[in-house]
Amino acid sequence: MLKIAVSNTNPGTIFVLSGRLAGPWVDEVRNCWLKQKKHESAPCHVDLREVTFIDEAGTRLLSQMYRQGVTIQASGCLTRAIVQNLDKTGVHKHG
Amino acid sequence: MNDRPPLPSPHEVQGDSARYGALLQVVEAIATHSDLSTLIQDLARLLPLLVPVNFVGLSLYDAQRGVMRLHVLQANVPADIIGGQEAPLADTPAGLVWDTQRPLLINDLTKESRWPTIVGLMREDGVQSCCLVPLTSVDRQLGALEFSSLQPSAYGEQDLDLMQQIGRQVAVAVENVLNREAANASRRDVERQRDRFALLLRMTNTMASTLDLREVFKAVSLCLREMVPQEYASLILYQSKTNRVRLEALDFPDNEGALTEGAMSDVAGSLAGLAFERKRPAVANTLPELQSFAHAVPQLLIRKGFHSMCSLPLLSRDRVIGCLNLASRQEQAFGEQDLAFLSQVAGQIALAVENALAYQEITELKDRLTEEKQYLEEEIRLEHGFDDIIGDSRALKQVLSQVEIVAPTHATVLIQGETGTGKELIARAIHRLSGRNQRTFVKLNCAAIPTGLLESELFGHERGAFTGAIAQKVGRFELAHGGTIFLDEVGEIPLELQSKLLRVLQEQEFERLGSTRTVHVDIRLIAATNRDLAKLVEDHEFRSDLYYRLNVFPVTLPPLRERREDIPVLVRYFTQHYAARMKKPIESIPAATLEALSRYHWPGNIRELENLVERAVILTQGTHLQVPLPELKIQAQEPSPPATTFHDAERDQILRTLRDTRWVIGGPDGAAARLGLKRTTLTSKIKKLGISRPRE
Repeated sequence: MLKIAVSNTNPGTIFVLSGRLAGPWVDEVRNCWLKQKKHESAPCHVDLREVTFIDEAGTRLLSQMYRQGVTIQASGCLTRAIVQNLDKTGVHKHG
Repeated sequence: MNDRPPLPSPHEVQGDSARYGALLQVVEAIATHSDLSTLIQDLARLLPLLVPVNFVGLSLYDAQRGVMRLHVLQANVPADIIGGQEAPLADTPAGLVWDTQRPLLINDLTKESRWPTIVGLMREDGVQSCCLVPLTSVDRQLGALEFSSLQPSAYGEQDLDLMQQIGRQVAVAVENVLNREAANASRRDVERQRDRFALLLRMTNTMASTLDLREVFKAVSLCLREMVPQEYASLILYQSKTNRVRLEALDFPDNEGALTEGAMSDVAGSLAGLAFERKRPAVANTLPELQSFAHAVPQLLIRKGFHSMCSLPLLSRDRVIGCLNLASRQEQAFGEQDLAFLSQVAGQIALAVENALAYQEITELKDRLTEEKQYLEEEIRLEHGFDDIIGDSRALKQVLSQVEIVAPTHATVLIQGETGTGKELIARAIHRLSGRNQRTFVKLNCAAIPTGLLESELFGHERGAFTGAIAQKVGRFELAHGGTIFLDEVGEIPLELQSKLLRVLQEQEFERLGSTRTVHVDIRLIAATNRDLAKLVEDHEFRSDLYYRLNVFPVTLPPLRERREDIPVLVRYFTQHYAARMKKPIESIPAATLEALSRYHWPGNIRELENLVERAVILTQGTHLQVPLPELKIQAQEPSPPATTFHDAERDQILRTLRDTRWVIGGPDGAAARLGLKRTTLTSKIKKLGISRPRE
């Protein structure tokens, strides 16, 4: 399962994900992100430090988000490797 | 009566013919009346034509109470008529006549000293003389018929014969009336019983069709109103934990918030308390009786104008599980018959309550089991990462594609592959993607169970099926009903069990050990083995028919050495998994380490890789994974086993060359030059063979 915590900061929105970004939860994250995007144009940030697994669809979503300007924070060697391969630019490295 | 011819006056009646005419009218009146009161009225009107009569009285003996009752008294003169008097036999002249069965003639009442009360009343009405004749039918002594006159010595011996004749006729009429009344009473009784049984049946049907206690009570309460006058009904159930009762349901239109469903209370001092104690109905049919109960509920009902209340225990196996309480504003609302009927209703309610409580408990247990099952499945998934199939290699994708094809079908799947290649992971993926994913996935490693116990594990056993079978056991096939059973190491199943397994696969039925009852199941089988089943068939160690039945859709998992490009991502995955579990801040894996791991032969496949990474995480101090690479060096030098196909051989050769050139393709020392290929040709082959460079 995945928990999505959304917090609105000034400026922007932070999505803190905990658990597995895989299967049906990928669409949940996508919907949250699209809803946020529709209502505000402020920057968006995704925190993946509590994510334990990302599947192929999750990786594709992160890639799409990244390309649209979302900054992504990761930790753990697998998550970091996935995020680093989205693109080297713009990724907030943790630790 | 008005359409009859006018009666002749006494003066006009002369001679025997006139008397017989009058007598016939009397007989006709006797024959046509079905009601005692109107019969006596007519007799009082007609008899003066025959004999000098001013009063006619009918007294009947009440055998149950042993009294003589003056049923009807009619007069043709002004008098204070007092009917319904009762007196012991010895206190009335009618009693004497009934007892002796002889007529009684009193010519002068003023001289009569017997029966002072009755005679006194007669004198007050001016009666001077009287004559009583017995009313006796063929079957029984009914009472006495009394003729009284305001004249002294009004009756002579000659009148006695006539009056006795009249008495015999009246006796027949009285018996008819009494029989008719008894028949009517029986009919009413039968009708009431019929209505009550119909009501009981209706209530029972309602109770049987719902397991909601409130619904049951609502239906019962509505039905009861039709049969028993009541304006208050409640159902209380005993709570053993608190030794109190809970007001489960209430039907009390005038409640006005005084009583609340779900409230707990004690029963001491209430009718229900008495019913609980005695295990039989408790009733208070008058206000003083009701007032003697100090409990809040009877006191509340008294304030609301109630006069009667009854409480019926709900008995289940001689244990009181609650009470049905009814109350009415009428006095004497709950008679013996009502209580007998209500006791039957209470018996039905007790059954319904038991059923509802049992159903409630089953539902709770079922929900709890479902939650526990979900929790355990989730834990297994998280613990073993069964949801996570890691890798992007062509070989793995090919397997996953086969999984997606076969999963929605009900076909048996045979998963083959070396040890540690993830056969269980694939089996679980097939189950998860199938229509059976809401049901159980049951796994059994056939090699891990002693041969002697395998049959019992698979098919279950009855108590006493063999020495040590101290309880019944449900086998894995039964547990997997509706779901999937995964038999790992299926090649280890002994020959003698293989025929039984074949039967389950073909017929979906089997018998537990020690039982003759056939169990039917709906299961999907996924079998796995790292042995060559075809070879086992050749060696007569495995039944060929079972092999063909299992081999419907074979899936072969590639060994790790054939999907080396997945090794880096697997290493990262296991590193992150164990680092999080051991709370180690490992953030990176040196490229040289990944390279070394990718070159290793991995005879134990992913399991070996996982164990190595776990050990490495334990040993690591700092943020870089430190793998004990020397352990692998000896193995790494070993040549790869010969490829089985040209395609594999080509792929292996390209991969080895790419590793040797550190993935440099072009240039004089590049892989293309070493392989004697054009750079574009090699690039094309790399793409075609799905070869990708390990990351990091």
